[in-house]
This record gives sequence, structure tokens and C-alpha cells, in this order.
Amino acid sequence: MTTPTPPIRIPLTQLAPGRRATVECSALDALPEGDRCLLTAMGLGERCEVRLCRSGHACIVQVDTTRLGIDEQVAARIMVTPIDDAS
Amino acid sequence: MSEPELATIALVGNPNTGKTTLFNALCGARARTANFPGSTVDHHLGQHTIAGARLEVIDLPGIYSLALDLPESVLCAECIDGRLGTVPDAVVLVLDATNLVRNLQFASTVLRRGLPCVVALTMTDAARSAGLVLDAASLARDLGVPVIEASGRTGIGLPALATAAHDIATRQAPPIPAAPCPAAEPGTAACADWAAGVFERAGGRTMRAAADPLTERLDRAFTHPVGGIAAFALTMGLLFTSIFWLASYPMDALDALFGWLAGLVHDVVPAGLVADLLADGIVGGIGATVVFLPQIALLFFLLALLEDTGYLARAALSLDRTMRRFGLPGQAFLPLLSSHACALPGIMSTRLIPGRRDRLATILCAPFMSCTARIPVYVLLCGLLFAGDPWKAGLAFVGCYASASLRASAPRGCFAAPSSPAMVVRWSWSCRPIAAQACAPRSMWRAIDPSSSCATPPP
Repeated sequence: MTTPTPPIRIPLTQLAPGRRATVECSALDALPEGDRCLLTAMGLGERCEVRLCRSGHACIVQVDTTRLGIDEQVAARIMVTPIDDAS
Repeated sequence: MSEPELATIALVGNPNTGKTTLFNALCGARARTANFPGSTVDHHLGQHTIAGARLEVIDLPGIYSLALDLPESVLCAECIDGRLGTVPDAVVLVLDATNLVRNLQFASTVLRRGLPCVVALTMTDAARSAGLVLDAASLARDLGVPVIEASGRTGIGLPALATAAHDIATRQAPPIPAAPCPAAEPGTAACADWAAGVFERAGGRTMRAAADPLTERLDRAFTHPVGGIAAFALTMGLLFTSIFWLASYPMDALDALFGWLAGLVHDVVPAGLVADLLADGIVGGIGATVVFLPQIALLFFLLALLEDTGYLARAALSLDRTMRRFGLPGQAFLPLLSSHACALPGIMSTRLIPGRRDRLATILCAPFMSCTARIPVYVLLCGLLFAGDPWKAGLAFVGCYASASLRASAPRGCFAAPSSPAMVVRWSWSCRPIAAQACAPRSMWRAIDPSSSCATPPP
């Protein structure tokens, strides 16, 4: 019997553009309170699904039908689990 | 006959949910701009008459959360909590059907406050076209408040919404047994699960927004580190050129009209002090002010257009890195640019900058910009100091502007704490440019509404 592989957690910046991912629980804990509030208020909260539209100095992520621009330094502190698009 | 009872309702919701379009449809042209005492954030007040009863409608600014440290969020929280003296009798929560899970999480924070509420479900036509049909009755059961599908653009559901809001505000409607909203804050897994549950019971299904190649291409171009800045410079250049070029026609017409009026006064009134006062003082004075109206109207219209298409959010993102070098956020660029026209609207528009420190730094910088009132002074001084040497005069003039830009770098030195690199999220932008533009002319008109204490750029 094989042990289930734990989901891979990577920073949002390491996600390939066009790929989807789920924001991890407590993934935003590393951020300052104000940024965390702003992100969650705009829909980027725990367990939400995001799609990375553009990486670089300003990441653009899509949450539902809304696009958010996030600074690279902040995006690097948001941990996500990539979703296999084939699933 | 006594005056009908006046109930107050407040429209609350996320930005871009169609809240102001609803307000315009309910109140029409009778709306006015106002401020709560002690607040610089303006909101709109209007009245709607329904079956002989009057409803005072407050259009609060669109917010993402009641807990954010932003002037709009603070104003909404204080209004709902009755800390501004006016306690609304009911709250109309405007929720966007195409972003319902996020909107429901925001709604939970409002519903928890216990005020009588009605939900106006907007953008249902856009949701339907994406294959999403929501059951308003199910939403009403879960939220414990009436849910009305309404559209300010088409007018669908407006009478039902006004009736429901009136009945709730005057306590005529029986309360619906409410399912408890989660105590968890929005963004947490518990709150997200609750919102997803409500959404799914209403027939919603998670839509994976398909990649839009055109939007992706535009995003790449407008947020490119170099190309984005070049595009912004080109856009602003075109904007200001078109202001002078397009506005010149109505300005010339107004100038001619007031010239004709002044001539008419001179013809009718016997020559003397009274004729001079009327023709040159009153008619000439009003004309000299009114003649600038087309320029201001066009500026606000074009800025509203750029804002509603989502371009300004992209521009702020691409300028962020450059502005950070001066200790300012990307969003500071437009207020500083506006300050070249006048520092007052520039300062007022800084309310859109999240973060108290960034707002304060931009406010302190804005008055250093060379506003139009200083240009005649520059011209006069350069002309006097370098008379007969146009090259030196021109260089001195450019130097005046350059020194303003240098002064703008002051925050980096003045504020010991660097601008938080984490202060990141700019605006969210939605991809519905055409629908959003429908309210641009009205917001432009409001911006130059003489009842407003000061003209402000559209948010």
C-alpha cells in the first residue's frame, strides 16, 4: 500500500502562467494584517481557486471573474497548491 | 395633509456591483452629493417615492470590506452602525451574481450587524449568459432577508426592490427566519465554506473563468515594465490633447455667446457704470468661469471612461515600481498628475490609496506640483528674469517643473519607514467595460455638480 503524496505547496510566484491553484489555509498568515485584509476582501482567501495570468514584478491573478494585481514580494509569500487542470 | 413618512435606506455593496446604477434608476436626477459631518468621503442622497411614501436613499461608496483601513470602509461602517447620526432604517445589500461567493462573504459581515436588510441581486443577466441561474428564494431562506433580482440598467425588479426596502424599513414586512451567518471573518475557510454552501443551494456552480486571450494580451501590454509606462504616457498625452482640442469648440461657442450677451447689454443699457458692471462684471465674470466647463466635463468624462474600462488600475500597477523609488505607491501617480491642474482634487482623490502612510505621503507631495495657477507666475518670472533670451527663459520654465518632480521625491527622505513593499493589491478590475461605461456620464456630471463642495475626480 502506497502512502498518499502530500499536496505540493509552492509560492504563487512559482506557478506557471495560465495554471490554476488553490490558496492554502493559513497561506496568508505570513502577510501583514492590512495586506491580508485587503486580499481577502477582494476575494483571495483561504481555499479559493486562482489562476495566474501573468508573473513578474506585478503578478496578475484571476479569482472568479475578477483580476487582481499583486506585487511580486507579496505573491511570493502566498502559498498555493497547484491544481491539475486535467482533473 | 401631513407629510408622508420618510424612511432611510442605505445602498451597500462591493465596487462595480451596479450599486450606483440602481441608485440612479431609483432616484433619477433628484440626487445630490453630500458629506457626513467630519468626513471628506462623499456619498449621494436621493429620494424615491413609492405609493405615496418617500424613501431617502443613501448611495454609500463601494467597498470590499467594512474592516479595511480605508476612508470609504470606515464611512460605511460608521453609517451602518449609526455613528454618524443618521441610522438607516434598512440596508439594501447589492450583490453581484457573477461574483456571488465573494459578495456573500462581504454580506455576512453586514447581516451580522442585525440591521433590517434587503438583498438586491444584480448582474443576473450576465450570470445567465454564462449559464448561471440563481434561485432567489433559496438565497432568501439562507440569508434570512428578501432577495430581489434587480437591474438599474433595464429597470427590472426596481418596483419590487423599492417596495421590499420600504416594507422592511417601516417594519411592515414579517421577518424571515434567518440562518445564522458565520462568525468567521471573510476570507477564512469557514466563511468561504458558508458562502459556497449558500451559493450551491441557490443553484450556483463554480465557474472556472475561461482565459480571455484579448484581455490577457491587453494586460501584458499595459502592465509591461517599459511598454506599460510608455502606454500610460501616450494615453495621458492623448487625453490632455483631446481636452484642449475637443473642448475648444464648445469653449469658443460659449465665449462667443457671452461676448454677444455683453454686447447686447451694452446696446440696451445706457453707457455708464451700470452697463459696465452688467456687461463686463457680471456677464464677463460668469462667462470667464463657465467657459472652462467643457474642459472640466471632458476631463472627468475621459477619466471615468479610463477608470471604468479598468485601464487606470493596470496603469497604477505598471507605475508602481517607478513610484516606489520615490517612496510613493503606484496609485499616487494620478493624484499627482491631477495636482498639475489643481492640488485640491488631487488631494481628494488620494482617498483611493490604501494605507494611511501612502495616503499621507501623497497628500504632502501634491501641493508641490506645479498647478495651473502657478504657470502664469512662472511665465512672468521667467520673462522678467530672462527678457530677450527665450532659450534661458524656456529652460528656467522647464526647471520650475523639474523642481516640482524633485520635490516629489521628498517622502523617501522624510518618512523613515519605507513604503511597505507588501502594500500590493491595487484595484480589482472586472472585464465588463461596456456595461460599466453606462454610468460614466452621470458620474462625470456629479463630479462637476455645483452642489458638491469641490470637484473631485471619479473614483
